[in-house]
Amino acid sequence: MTPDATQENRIPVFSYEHRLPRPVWLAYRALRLVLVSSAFVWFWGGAFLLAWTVLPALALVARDPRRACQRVVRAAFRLFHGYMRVLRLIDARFVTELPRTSGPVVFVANHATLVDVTAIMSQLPDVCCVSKSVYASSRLVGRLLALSGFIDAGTSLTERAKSMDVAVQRLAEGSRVLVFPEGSRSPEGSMSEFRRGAFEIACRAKVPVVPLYLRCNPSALRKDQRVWQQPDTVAHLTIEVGEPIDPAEYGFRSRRMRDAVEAQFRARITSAARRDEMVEEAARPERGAG
Amino acid sequence: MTGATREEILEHVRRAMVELFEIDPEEIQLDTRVVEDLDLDSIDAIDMFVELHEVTGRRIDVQVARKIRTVQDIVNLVESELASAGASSSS
Repeated sequence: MTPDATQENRIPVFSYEHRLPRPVWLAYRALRLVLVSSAFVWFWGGAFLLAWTVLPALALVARDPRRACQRVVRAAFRLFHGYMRVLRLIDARFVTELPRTSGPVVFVANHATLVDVTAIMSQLPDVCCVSKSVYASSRLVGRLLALSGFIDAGTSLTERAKSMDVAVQRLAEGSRVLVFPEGSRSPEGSMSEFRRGAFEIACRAKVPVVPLYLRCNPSALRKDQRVWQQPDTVAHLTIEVGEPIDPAEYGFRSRRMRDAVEAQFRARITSAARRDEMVEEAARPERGAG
Repeated sequence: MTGATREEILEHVRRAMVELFEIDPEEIQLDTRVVEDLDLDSIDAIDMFVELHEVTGRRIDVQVARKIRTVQDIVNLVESELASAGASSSS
């Protein structure tokens, strides 16, 4: 057997390698790679076009430029996810009822895949997402992010302090804020430690935190997965909306709140990952024998 | 609080940290490391600098602040800031 991507990577990628004749599988793999790449092209190309045509024009004429741009971007994200769903790349769904639209909250989510941001924002209106500085200062999407209300997390102490002020301000304006408190995508089947910013924002603004529990099975577009290491079947991204958590319960102390919410996430994520593993093991009994 | 002794400064820093971060005062000694032992993060750092700014009346230089590792470093910083604040006001 030749070493391939699935072996290089310690964590196996869901593959049809042992279910299909090799030439058929290779052809299928190539097709999948083209489809995945096309989604990337659509995303970056679309973001670039929007950021340099529709959005700046809209920002000039709209009464509320940020929210107007957000609506356009939300429609674009919906289109993007429709595209990926039709091509059987990623099927993103809210498995619980959408949270009621009224009132500012901080959405907190584990970062299961690259496209969970777009999946969440395609469904929830008036959401400002806190994003890494590399994206905010990117030539391709930086402009789009700035126009449509994304908040640059910053890198230095002063920038971070400022980003929290901006988030609190947005909440005061009645918008919602989305934070991935791990600060980056989660490792396979688990979660990095939560940072405190999201909870500090909620405590200062005195608004509830609403957990969004994400699960992507099989895993796709994880941080350690290259473009050619995507699963051979559609990845199901499920988004579960949890009960709102009031910062008053923790005396508006963000550290306590962080610890409690992180524990809640950890319990869910690890038990869900274990369940996925067991299902997968059961599905391929001949793997070890060959 | 110009002319404060090191003990007074330590006591003040300790009181501020207890109040800001809910830490047991006994945990705060001169050789206590702020990140490893007290688990303080960047948000705490910002709160701490706001507090130090109020004490010394001077803006804390971010470059200097970045080098802080222990409570001793904070006390040294406050001491030198107070000294230069005193020097500039008397001249």
